[in-house]
Amino acid sequence: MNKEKISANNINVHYGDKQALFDINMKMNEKEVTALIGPSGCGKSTFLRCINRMNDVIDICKISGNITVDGQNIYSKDTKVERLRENIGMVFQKPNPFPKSIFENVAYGPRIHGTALDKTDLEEVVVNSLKRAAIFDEVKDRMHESGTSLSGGQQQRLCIARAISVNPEIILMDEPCSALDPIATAKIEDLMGELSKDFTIIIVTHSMQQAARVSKKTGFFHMGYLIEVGPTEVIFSNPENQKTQDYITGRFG
Amino acid sequence: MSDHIVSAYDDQLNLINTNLIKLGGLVESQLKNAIKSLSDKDTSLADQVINDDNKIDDLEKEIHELIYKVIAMRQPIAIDLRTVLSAVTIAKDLERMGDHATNVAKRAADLKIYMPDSPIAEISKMASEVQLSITKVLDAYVAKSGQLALEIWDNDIVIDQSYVKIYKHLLKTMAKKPETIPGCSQLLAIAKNIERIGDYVQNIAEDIHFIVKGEILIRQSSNEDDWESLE
Amino acid sequence: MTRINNDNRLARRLNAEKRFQFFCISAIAFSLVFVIILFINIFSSGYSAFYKTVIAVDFDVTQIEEDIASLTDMEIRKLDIFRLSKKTIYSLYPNLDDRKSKKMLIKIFSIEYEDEIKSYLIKNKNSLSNIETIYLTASDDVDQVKKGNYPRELSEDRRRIKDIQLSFYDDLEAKGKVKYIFNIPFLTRGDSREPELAGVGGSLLGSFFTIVTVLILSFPIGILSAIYLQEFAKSNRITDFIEININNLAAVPSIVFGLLGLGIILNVFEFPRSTPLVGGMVLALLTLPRIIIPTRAALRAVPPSIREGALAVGATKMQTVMHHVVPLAMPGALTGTIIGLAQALGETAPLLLIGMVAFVVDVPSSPLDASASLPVQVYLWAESAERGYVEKTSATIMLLLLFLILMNLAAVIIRRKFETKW
Repeated sequence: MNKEKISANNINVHYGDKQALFDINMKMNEKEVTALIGPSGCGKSTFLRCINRMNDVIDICKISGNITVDGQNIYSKDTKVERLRENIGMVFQKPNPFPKSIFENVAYGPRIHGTALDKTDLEEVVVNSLKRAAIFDEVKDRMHESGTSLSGGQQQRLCIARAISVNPEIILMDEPCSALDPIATAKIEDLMGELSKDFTIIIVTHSMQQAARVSKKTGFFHMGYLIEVGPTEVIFSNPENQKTQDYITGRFG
Repeated sequence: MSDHIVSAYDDQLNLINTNLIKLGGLVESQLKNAIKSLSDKDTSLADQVINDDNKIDDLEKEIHELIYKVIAMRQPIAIDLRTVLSAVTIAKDLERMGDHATNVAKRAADLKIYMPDSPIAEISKMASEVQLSITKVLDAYVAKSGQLALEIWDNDIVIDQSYVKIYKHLLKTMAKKPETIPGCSQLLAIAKNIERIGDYVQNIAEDIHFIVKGEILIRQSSNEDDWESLE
Repeated sequence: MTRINNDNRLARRLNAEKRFQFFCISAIAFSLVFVIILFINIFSSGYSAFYKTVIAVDFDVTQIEEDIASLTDMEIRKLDIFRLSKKTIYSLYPNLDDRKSKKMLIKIFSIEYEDEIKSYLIKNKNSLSNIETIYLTASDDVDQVKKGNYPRELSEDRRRIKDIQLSFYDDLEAKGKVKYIFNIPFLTRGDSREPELAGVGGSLLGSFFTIVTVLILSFPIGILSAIYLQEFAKSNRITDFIEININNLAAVPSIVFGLLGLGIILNVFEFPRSTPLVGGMVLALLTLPRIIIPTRAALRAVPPSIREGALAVGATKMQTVMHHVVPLAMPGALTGTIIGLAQALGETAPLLLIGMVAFVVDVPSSPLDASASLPVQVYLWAESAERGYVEKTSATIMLLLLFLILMNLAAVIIRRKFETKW
């Protein structure tokens, strides 16, 4: 049983007058994959984006409650949001590599945070990140081509490499495979298994089979509420809440 | 329980259900006819039961095929998975029950042997209890009632006790009147078959409970103490 | 049954589409025809301005006492060869002795003949032989006769050029002493009262300095304002108000900016009148909204996924905007800027109000010298009576159009070159 890494306490999120999340309390453990599932509009992506404070860029979004990472409240006034995001990486639903070269995509993070000592060090960081994201072999001969010239699945792995280039502890993935074909999806799921040995991964997914395959712990969201959270085998074989069962067996409606 | 969003999924599950009920109905009538052929000493009825066993085998095969399709196409999980996997074992158990009913009919067909009447009456009584439990377990399956399944599961001990009584009675009869041994041993076998049917009903009740509650029932310890009183 | 109905409907729809296409193509063809007519008109009346008529005279170098080769340019300029020059011209028709005819002969040449001879001497001072054939610029009337624009058939009292001058011209033409050469001074000299000497050089440089001033003032302010307003400013009443105002400014008639320039820049701040500096300041105000609006649109067009990608890696807002958004928006911003500048190039009304319309002979050497601009020059020459100015007006318009086309081409090339796929 891994120890706790992230703890969300009484999280309430409002978009203007509309409330999107109601009193969410959830704990996520380190170096394992936690899945967030639920129907469209249930608030799981909103919750995910609270963890790295990406919701800050939306003016009408108001968040109350707190989220602690290793015991530190990330919503406190002294938190530097750029440092937070250095520690918590994010991969998005539609792969969004920068329209720069593959090398530059991965080098950008270390550059702005100053984590590489010199040119050779930077190159090493880039190569390692690409290797850990299981894409180095496919791009090693074209590091200076544009990141957007890759296929969808490759672009997503490039984005993963970009996220890990700054050595985060946590990686957030917002439906990372929904725009990809089954083979590309399988490669990323495999990668997730490898990465979870070193990183804490939180993944939002529409596919219950995916959640069942990759995660250790699953949280089920519905209409802004966290209905049930528990070990994945329990949630998918015999959940406690009837709503959870109705959703995972496709009875919702 | 609300319906699946994909109605074709529900249609497939319902088809399995319907066929299982049909199989249960077949087993019920097989047992009824087998007992009737024994008490009425009707050899032609007994032969009919023996022939009709094919229907049970064929239907069980059909149900298996339906189940494989659902698993491949729908990837059922949680309660759906329990329902579908249990349907495999329930179908198997019903088919075995059919086999035992056929065995009863086979022995009943052998009417040249004299079988004393009072054990037959007791056997008929036990058989009607088993028949009742078959009906109840099929109802429990349709209603997906864990409660009812539990009651049936608990009730098996009554059937076991009836069997022990019949067994003791037959033993006494055979000891007192050795000329009844051939007949009584047939009756013993018949009673055993019926008791086995009762055990299968208990299995089915266990499966139903598992489908509904997701918990496996622990079987009670065997009633060895009953045997001891024979000494 | 329904199938047949659909076929009818389909045929009607296809016909309507064909009709619509026809109207659209006709509209385009109609506009193109007018553009072509415009171009043909301007070209045909303007091309002759790039040529001028010159007449050959034989200059006797030995008549000058000093040794030309040893003199400096300044000294040559200071020589008094007025009478010598006149004599040179008289020598074309040595038998002419009445004063009136001689005066008429002189008048077939442009008034600056003495200076033209001096320029020739300066240019060739080291290779002069005793008799040099110098081509002197013909007067405006002779120039127009050569170009076939002069109404020769009118009676003498109804035209400026006299019969005797025409006879001189025809004779010299027959003798092959009249040449038609490329008019370089047209491009280098400033305006002049004499049409044959008038050049577009002054207004060319005037426009150039004005546009450079506009660029220096409006580009940084415009781009940075657009970036701030689009990316950093909070969305509230004040920024909405600013946006509405910028949009409206783009629609304000340009002459209003001229009034602003006159009232404030010239009268209150007392900047030098008629200079490209002030012209540039006024036009910069005019161009600002034309830069801000397309730049904001280009910034808006950058997809939010790029911003999110940068923020998620830990970039600050400023880094996200400067490293990722602005480079992607640059092609659009630059295109907007160049088109804004091209429009500023053609502005006339505001420049008239701040005085870039005075008759200025000298070519400006800095933005602080008084000058005119190309469109203002067109306006001035279009008002003049002399026939010679007609071709020059059209020629100036041709130059203006050329620069506009070049600037628009530059906009297209820049857009193509920097367009990245995201």
